[in-house]
Amino acid sequence: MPLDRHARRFLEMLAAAGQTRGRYGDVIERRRALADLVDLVDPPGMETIGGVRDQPLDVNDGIITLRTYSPLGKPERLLPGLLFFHGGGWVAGNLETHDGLCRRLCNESGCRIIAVNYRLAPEHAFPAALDDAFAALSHVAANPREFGIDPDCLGVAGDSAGGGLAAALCREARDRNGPKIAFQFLICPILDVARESAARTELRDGYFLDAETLARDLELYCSGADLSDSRLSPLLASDCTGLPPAYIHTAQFDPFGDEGEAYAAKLSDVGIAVHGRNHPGMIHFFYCMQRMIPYARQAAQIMGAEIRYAAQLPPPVERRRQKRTRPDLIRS
Amino acid sequence: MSALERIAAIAVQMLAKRGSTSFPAPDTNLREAGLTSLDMVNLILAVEGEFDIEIPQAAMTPENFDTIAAMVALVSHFSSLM
Repeated sequence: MPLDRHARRFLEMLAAAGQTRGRYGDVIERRRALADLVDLVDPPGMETIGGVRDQPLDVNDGIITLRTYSPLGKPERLLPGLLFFHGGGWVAGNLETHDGLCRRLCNESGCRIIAVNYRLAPEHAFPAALDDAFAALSHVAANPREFGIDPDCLGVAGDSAGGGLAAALCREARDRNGPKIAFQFLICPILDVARESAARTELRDGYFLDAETLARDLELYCSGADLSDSRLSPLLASDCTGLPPAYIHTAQFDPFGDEGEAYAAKLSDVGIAVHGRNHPGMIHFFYCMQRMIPYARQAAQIMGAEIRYAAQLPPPVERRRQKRTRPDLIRS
Repeated sequence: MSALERIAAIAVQMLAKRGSTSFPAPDTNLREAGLTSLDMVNLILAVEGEFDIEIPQAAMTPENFDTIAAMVALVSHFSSLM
């Protein structure tokens, strides 16, 4: 399938607008560019939900914020929870840049989404983000009622770099006897920073996130760390047994598409239930571009339905009459 | 209002968001005047909305959006309002 026409148009506009490509100098500029983009394509706070609450969490030498999104309807009772880690190349992004996506996933899934503003590089380099993620998981799992969540159903999710964090967090929780994670929900995740896949090579420039930007992000976050460390590149991990069921979303024109699919196959090979879905015609970050790419809205419905399925929630009343389809099962 | 005035009004609004109070000349390079690439995307969308046109792929080049004058020329090709 060719590029979605809205995605293509957006890429054309970026090119005509003289999008700065290549290695950025100042991380402030990188952060502002992402925030400006989101203001344009998916401004925060637009979708009405049941409620939003911010809670501080002390982590190793700092404080992070956990933002709980509650769905419309009956937010008082205990609901399945989903810890969400935003993307932004470990150096950019925050609770606001992914507010739109979290709101959509919250309403569509009927779960409480707990977004984590883990600390960013270069101020906090690897493995600070993962340490914060583990601290957030441990805190929420130890205090489920405080967050209004069902203690037996806590999943993890993330997009892009945050998707890689969520995948690595599942391994951390397994290896450090951490809390049980019910499922992992990865959206266009970055799972292998040590190697360049065919998709990375083919889509290295002109498909929204260019290779040089990623290289600079990595330089700032990894700061000399071994890129094949499974905490940075879960795809390179030797042992994938005992990980939670995985829902992996990839996009056809995403440089990280190959690694998402390879990770799905890798988990599936050791007997983990994997539900994979490729979004045809889509680019990286499409799910946060609903004003520019209308399919983002539909994708949120698909994702929400899958999260419901993963969390064993019934479909919403208005959709129960429609045929319910099981998410694509790659292998199980 | 002429096309020049309408496009200039949009550009001034965008520049104001970046803290610039200057009024760009028709041949001022808008990026050099302080607009980011995302401001430029926003400006392209605003111009399309203002003139109710969809600028085709072939015309999506940086040269067509560098200056207010370039955009006026572009819009005159696609708009019956001129």
